[in-house]
Amino acid sequence: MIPALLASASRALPKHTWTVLLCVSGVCLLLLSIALMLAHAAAFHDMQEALPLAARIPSLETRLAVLSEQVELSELHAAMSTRSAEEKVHLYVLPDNVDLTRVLGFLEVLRDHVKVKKMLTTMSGIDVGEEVPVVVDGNTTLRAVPFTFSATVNDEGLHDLLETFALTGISTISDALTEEQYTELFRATEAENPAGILALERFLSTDFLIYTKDQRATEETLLKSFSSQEFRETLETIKQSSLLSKGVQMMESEFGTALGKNRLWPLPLLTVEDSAWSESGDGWHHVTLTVFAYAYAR
Amino acid sequence: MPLSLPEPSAECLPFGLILQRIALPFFLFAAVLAGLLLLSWFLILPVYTAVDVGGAKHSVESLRAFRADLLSNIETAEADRSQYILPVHDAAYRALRHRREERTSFLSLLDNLFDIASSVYAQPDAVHLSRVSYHAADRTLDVDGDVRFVGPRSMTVLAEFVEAAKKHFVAEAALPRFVREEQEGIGPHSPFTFSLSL
Repeated sequence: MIPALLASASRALPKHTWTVLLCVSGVCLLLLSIALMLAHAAAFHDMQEALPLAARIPSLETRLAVLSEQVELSELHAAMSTRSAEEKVHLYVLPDNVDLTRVLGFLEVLRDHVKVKKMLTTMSGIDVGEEVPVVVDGNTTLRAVPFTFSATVNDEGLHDLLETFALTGISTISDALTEEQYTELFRATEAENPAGILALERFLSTDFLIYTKDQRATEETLLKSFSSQEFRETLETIKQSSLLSKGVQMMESEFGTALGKNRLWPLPLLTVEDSAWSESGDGWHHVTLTVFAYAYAR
Repeated sequence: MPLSLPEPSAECLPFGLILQRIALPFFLFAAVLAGLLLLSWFLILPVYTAVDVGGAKHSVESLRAFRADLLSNIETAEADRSQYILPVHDAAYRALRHRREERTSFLSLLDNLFDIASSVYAQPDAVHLSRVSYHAADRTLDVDGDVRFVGPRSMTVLAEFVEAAKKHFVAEAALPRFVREEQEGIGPHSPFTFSLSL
């Protein structure tokens, strides 16, 4: 049929037009062929990527299934649990109004702690500045009250003074961990016992004060759901690298006892905004710190 | 069908005539080639490039899309899990804690600065720091001090110290004013003040 069509077309058209038509069509078809050949080459080249991609997909599917199971379990559990930790944060850590008594009480206990240990010689009065708005997350604005004071301390006093502020605002165990650290714990549960996520949830929600009083019991409750050595090692590494161990040390010291006695725990969340160091002679340091205490901007 | 063309002379064939003779074979060749390649593209290639994942056949494109879909679902599930597992969900509290965690501690900045100052010259007390202040919100570090006990090289040692500090703390540095002064008891020395943006 095609030869007959071609023959009739060649007869119907002038010879010159027929030749030009054949050549142009031939060139177009040749270009199409080149494009198709390149597409074939690209398809075979993509196969190099396809095989490793295909190899990873089953593990991703498994992970998604595990995660879905954990989400389902934790959603059910969350629906039944109380929000006491959240309430505690709103009352003491990030209240509606900055509680001057609690902030000054903490600074006073801190001063007494470094002074008793002979790590501080003098500390100035504490200046409370005007409230300022602070944007913390692009669209979240809080109110902050600055507290400024100076102190003359030795090396240990300098460390204690500055490191203690990192422990303010901790209410539960989860508050002493960074996002990377609790994500690592989540991943460890996926690998060993996905259903153990509820035990981890209970561990992370444990009041930090209760944890410091009996670390072993709190950890053993968690480890009942995760018996592997890998999980124990992960937990130990996270404990050492996070604020957990420092927090425990602090709460076990006289300083921690004084905080408890003065009902200052959980401490309001404080950040050191401005710090100035200068030498004070004989290995002592003079530091001036401006610390912000926060409240909701309502 | 044979084409009835005039007999060409052996010496010189006109271009138009050559074109007339090759047009049909050229067209047929291109058409057959394109046809075969189209056939391969639609019927043969999918058979050989499809990958079997969990009993279903996927092309490379659909594999990519499938993987992207899986990753996005995993990300959503992780966020949901954190939402249910963590006891405090208050956005402002979390943002504030994150802001504090991201900050470099003044203690580590001081330690680094003292390390640089003592290693920049063979004599460890050549670079003497007298005041260091850090403004966490705008991440600036102001350093005051003095280069001493190095004789007439004090400005060179100061430049080395500033370079080393810049390299360590990145970003920008407002260079100090390079001066050399004479002082009884200390000799030639270079007091400095500069800012580092971390």
